[in-house]
Amino acid sequence: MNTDGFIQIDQELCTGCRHCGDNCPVQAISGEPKKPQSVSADRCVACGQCVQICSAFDSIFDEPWGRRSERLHERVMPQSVTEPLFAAHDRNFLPEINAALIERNLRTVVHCDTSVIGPLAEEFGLRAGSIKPGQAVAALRKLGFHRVYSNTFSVGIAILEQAREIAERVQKGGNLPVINSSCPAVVRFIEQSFPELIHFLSGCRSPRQIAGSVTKAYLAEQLKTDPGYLFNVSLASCTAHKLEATRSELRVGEHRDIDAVLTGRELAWLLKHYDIEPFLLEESEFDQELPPIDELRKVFCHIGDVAQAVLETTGELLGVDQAAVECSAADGGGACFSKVRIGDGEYAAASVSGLQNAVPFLEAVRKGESSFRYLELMACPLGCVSGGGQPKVLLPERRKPIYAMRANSTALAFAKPGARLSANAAISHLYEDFFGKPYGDKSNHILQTRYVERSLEVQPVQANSS
Amino acid sequence: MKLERLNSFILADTEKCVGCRTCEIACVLGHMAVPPEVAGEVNARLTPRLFVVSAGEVTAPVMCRHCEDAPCANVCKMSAISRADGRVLLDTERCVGCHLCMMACPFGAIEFAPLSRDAAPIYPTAAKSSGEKNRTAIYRATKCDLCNDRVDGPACVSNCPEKALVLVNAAAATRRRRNEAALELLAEQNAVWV
Repeated sequence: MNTDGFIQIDQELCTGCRHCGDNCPVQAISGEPKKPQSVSADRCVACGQCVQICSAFDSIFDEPWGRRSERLHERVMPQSVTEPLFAAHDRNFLPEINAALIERNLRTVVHCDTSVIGPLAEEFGLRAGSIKPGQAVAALRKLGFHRVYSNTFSVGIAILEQAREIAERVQKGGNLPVINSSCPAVVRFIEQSFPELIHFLSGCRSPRQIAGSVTKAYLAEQLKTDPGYLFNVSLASCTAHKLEATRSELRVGEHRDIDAVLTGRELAWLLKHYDIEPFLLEESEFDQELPPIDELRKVFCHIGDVAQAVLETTGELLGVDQAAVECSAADGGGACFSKVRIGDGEYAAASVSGLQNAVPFLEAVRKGESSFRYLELMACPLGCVSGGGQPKVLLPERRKPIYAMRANSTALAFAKPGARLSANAAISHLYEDFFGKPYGDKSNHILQTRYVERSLEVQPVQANSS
Repeated sequence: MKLERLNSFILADTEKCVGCRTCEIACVLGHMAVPPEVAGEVNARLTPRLFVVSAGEVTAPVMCRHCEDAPCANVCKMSAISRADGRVLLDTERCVGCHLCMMACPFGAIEFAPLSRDAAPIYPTAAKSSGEKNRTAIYRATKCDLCNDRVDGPACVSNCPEKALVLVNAAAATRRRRNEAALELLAEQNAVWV
């Protein structure tokens, strides 16, 4: 499949206002002002913020009769879509997904981000959180997916692996801080703009990729299916994940971890196309072979939650049960801080959202001046609830309030005490019965990954200090 | 709005306008009782009442200037366009879509948009249309109304990310300039003659 340019700018619709380019953290969008812009696929990390910001829509007053239908066809979108089409847009996997759903020999599996389900309601004119997760599950089953899993299970695995990594690097004097590898845009950003820091990144795959690799390796065995007959769809808030899923090293044998990515917006197109109204459906449970971990539902929705969970788990692994993690509120620069006392040592973490805001923290690591043990870096302004694939807020002044509502709807609904991941039965079972031991060859092949130095010549853009 | 002698209108600063079309989006949403928050909620094509034009080096929205002797009002045979409350208002209910106002406007500030209610297009009654499959929604004239129902004033002005739009009342602005000029002139004259 064509793997370049997941983010594209329609040359006919673009008015050259440069709002996308001015906000691009890697200066990947170029063009003269007031002329159509273009995205450099080499520089683009596919964070999708340009897609969220773009306001140049297809006005009926400017186009020839019938152009809309053609444009929908060009973008491989259902003809039933009624929403405005903007210049900056992301490519989708709809043909592959539709084909897989129809193909009788394939078992289609969908892995769901929590951060997608809450905001999905907005696509139907409801407040974020109005569609219950169980109703989203029911809707996905109606679309024809054989299995529907919550990503909280893989989030749990990722957190456990990263906690292990922190503990090991502290003990053996390895590279600290451990930098979270869950955000594909951050990974790509580091590979391109801070390539010397790729060895600080956690070696662990992102949770969405883990969901895929564990399915093709472990679940295939459980379901007694050849992994070649499993088709993994990742329901994500993320456009960068589309680029991530096509990385050649993210496979189990010859099978891609994730075969196709479906964003929240794209799911809404499908549901509306098939007249499925999720808010009217009876709830259905997630499938239990990869059982959901409820306490982790708010992680990745709100900045700071990953660091909190990782520090708690590090504490558990080092013998401090229910370690009390203190967190500070987010400051104006999109950062919040947490720390936990484990034995004699204090483990501190910084959680930063917005790629430009991450730059000072990465500079500090480069200079060897970082005092943190863990960095949770997220590309999108308020974490995954504001991801490139999330419902697109129409007016600039409504973005912050809507993102805040999304984060709060998940946080309030699912705020529970610590997950005690090291004691989680399903994860333990996976490690003992399938992997044999953590950090062994089998577990590494499926849970770990490697990074590529892809240095660019120009320095990354830093946020204004004001 | 405070009553002034002349009609108000919206002025676009071409130095500041980048052509992003946020004003168009704000215009559509500003005229809806329950505006959508996200793109996915929108059920019909967006039909703003101001139109961003890209002409070489310059971008700016073009919209109704609420003319004192509005050609559109003069030409409308259905009396759908009238001067009231310091602006020129077009009553869509009375409009039959004869296109005269659209042709009369020297600025191209009148467009035709499909009539809709609750974001769904309204089609002509079955007896008059050419069959189910070929039906097209009724198109009627639409133009800027200075957001007469909106508490915060024109939606485009408040939502422009570049602050390129401003609501202007020429009479008030002129009066202010006249007063300032008079004071300056007075000061200069005194300096020279006294």
